[in-house]
Amino acid sequence: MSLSLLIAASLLCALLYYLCPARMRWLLLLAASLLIYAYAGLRGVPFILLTSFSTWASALYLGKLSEAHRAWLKEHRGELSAEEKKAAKARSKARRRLVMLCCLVLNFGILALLKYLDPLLSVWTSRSLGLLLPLGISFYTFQSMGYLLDVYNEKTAPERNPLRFLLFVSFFPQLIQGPIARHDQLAAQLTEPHEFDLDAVERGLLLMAWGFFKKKVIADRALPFVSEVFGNHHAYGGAVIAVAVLLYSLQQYCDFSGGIDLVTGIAELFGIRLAPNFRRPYFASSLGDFWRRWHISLGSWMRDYVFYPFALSRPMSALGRAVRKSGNAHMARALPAALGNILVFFLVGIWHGAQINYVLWGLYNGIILAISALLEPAYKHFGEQHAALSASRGFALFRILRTFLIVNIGWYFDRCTRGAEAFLMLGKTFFQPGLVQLSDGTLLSLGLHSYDWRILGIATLLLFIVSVMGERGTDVRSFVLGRKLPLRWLILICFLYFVVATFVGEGTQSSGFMYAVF
Amino acid sequence: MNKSLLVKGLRLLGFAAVFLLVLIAADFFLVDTDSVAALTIREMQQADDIQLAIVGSSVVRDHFNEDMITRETGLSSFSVTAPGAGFQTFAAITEELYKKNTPELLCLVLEPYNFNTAREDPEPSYKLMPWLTGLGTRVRYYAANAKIDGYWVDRALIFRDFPARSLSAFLKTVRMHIDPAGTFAEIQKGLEDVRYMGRGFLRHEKTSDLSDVIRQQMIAERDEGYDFPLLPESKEMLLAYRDSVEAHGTRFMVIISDNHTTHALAEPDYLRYMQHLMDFCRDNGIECYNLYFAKEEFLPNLDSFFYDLYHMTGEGADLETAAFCRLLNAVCTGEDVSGWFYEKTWQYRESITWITNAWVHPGEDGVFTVGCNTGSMVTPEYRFTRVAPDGTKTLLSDWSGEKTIRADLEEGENLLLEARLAEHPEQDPVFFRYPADYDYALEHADLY
Repeated sequence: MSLSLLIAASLLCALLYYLCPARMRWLLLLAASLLIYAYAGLRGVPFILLTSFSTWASALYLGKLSEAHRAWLKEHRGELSAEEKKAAKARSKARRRLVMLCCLVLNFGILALLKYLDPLLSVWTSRSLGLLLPLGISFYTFQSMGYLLDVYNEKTAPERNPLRFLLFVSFFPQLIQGPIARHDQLAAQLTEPHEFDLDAVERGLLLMAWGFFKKKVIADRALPFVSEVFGNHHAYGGAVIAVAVLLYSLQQYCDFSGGIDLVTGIAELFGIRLAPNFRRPYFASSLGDFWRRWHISLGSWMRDYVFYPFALSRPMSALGRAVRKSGNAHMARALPAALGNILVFFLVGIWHGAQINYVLWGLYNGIILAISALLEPAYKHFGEQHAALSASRGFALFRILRTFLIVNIGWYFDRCTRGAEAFLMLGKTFFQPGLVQLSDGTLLSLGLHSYDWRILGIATLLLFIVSVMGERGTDVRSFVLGRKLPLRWLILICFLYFVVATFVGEGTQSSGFMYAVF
Repeated sequence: MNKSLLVKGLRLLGFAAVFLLVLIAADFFLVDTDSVAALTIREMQQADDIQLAIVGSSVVRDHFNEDMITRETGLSSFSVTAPGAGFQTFAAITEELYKKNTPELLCLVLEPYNFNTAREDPEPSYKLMPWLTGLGTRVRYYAANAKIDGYWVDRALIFRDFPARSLSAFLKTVRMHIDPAGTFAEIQKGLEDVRYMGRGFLRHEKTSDLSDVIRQQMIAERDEGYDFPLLPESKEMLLAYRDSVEAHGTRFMVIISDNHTTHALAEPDYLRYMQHLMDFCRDNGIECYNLYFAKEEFLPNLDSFFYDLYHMTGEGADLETAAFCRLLNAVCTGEDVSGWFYEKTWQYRESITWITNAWVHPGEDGVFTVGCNTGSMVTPEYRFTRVAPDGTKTLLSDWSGEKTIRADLEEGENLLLEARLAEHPEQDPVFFRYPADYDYALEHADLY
């Protein structure tokens, strides 16, 4: 689905939403979501319905099992010994676990089948089954399974209305590329009849424009250069490759976060607030900090449903105890966390795709985080020894640049289609820079002319200024909308004119959202 | 609705209106300007004495000497040049023409390849739109273009696709809006080979050697499956155009403009399309004269006056205009001119008694195959020579009808093909070098 169509459909839907009787509004949202999803690809509809229904039914059954267990306990209060209570609890838990596992296997099984079968087949044979990935399947599967696990862990009550649950899974703005919402954060907002609030609509429109700017002015303009260099890296020296990686860094951030801004803005048109998914990640002071700022919803999903269950599992607790016996208390705490990080990023890598470059990218991040966790006492010691230096602005800047470098090295693996290519390009970057290509016109012959570079430069500067303001705690939208009318209009008109004049049209150069394919 | 919401809503609408005005202003001033097109449009909009309007694309501007026409026919003439080839553009500029003038005669000059949809050539709307007057004319022109190609947003935002990329380009556009004649007079000082003569006529003095252009053309224009269909929309537009012109009491005729002969022969569908257009005009009672099909005694071949494959120098324009005046005077007095033109395509093809151009295409195993454009009764013969980087020539095959040659060229070597009429050794051959001409042609193919 094209971006312009999504925007037009959203505006129309918002108009109808407020014209609709209040109690029917969530049904309108559901109908619009399903219509838009069907328009994007009819073949995906059975999959989203299956995931929704199986999760809804499983969660409801889990709730009933819990209720039945509680009722049974209540009924037999005073009659049961502690052991009988324990045995009954174990039986109930086993039944509930079976239900939960069946649903998890079914839904992650569908996801794995559609996502990984073809790439794995291509490793051994030249055959392809031509399986098409339904739009947003990773996102709605993770969202649904998160809900299921929350119900299993009794953090959330099961939703009884299947249509309300279907809306939670299929709410159209977030369907394309997230964020992966939590049921307790989003579901009530979806069905609550929001009253028209022009201020909120204006804020939503402004966020949509900002997202559009990031996606269509920056990301799509950088795309041809990145595609050309990564597609024909043999023809270029390390310096051009480094420029391409930096542009990829920019492109990926603007594509993904721009898309998130857009869908968050669309949701705000309906009075719905989605959880933030980005928090200026390139200002991160460490890799761990980076991953707390980048794709926050996936990170928190992994933390809650993979990292903690793994790190607090019996084998990991046993490992921790064993290490503690050897006298290293820090290692006893850090080792399960380090292994948990490696596991989480291995899975995040796999989530991006079955190709080896994604696995390498995930392991690269996981291992660095693991090492950081293990070396934490050394960092702490350094900080104590050089307190003034550690607190200085220069050191803060150094940490940001260091993190930026580490992240960008990771992007080599993320963007290359083969692991060996990533190593080759990395080697060229450091050992065969071919600096002459930076000044012999090569940079102007790879899909970006001087006009494009100028636009990219101005747009990136604007993005940087807004990010710095955000980093300093300024709500930029409130800042702009709070100015006096002439200044506010001037700022907005200049910005909107720049966007309209420079956005990359939906032609050969442009692309869909990168994360829509995950 | 409470008062606060009303105020906020009005403020939002006000903002939208201001932003819309900014975009409209950008469409007028932040765009590049084809200064000749802008000048002629403004001049035409100010004139109120046009009795003969010659409407068409750049050939109209270059091929018709208005002073001569006015002198020879007694009709005050004007070349109404659309900045491009789309038929919608002709209709829009004609609408402008009729705002102050009601000409007695309107000649619509068509080149077969340009009588097509807006998709063929999207630039005219960018060049013309800022210079149109009246909301209705603009909206009709915008809709006519956009409904065919679907670029509703792109065409509304001219400054995106056709921007003024420098301050001087922006200033030129602004000044052309304020004082077109004065601004162009300054621009004219920097133009060596071109002089604007007024009334829409642009005189080119440059006489360049076309041999390189021809060598490029046979690559650029070789048949690659591009066809020239006479689209239903085109037919409808021509009939609607005819009706709107005749509704003003103006006599309407179609002139099919001649380009360089190579152009007509290079693509098989080109002449067929031209014939369809002539037949369509005849079937619908539209007067149509095809200057391609003019007989030698009426209009001699003007290939030597072309400065590119489509446009002639002023000298060629004078010759063509003279013939055009004869034609107009004859048809206006009811004289039968049917004998001045070939009626059918085959007759025209037979009348071409020379080779316009030749080339070779590389095949497998170092085998090259000859292609050439000629009249249908012409028998060519060829000679092949290997040319070393230092210019040393080695004859590979002397004059014969053999159309293939095997030549394993080394780095830096060229294969020289020469072609001439068989049994006419006195004739200067046309030639082609591979890879020199071939590579150059491919590199510059998009210029054509």
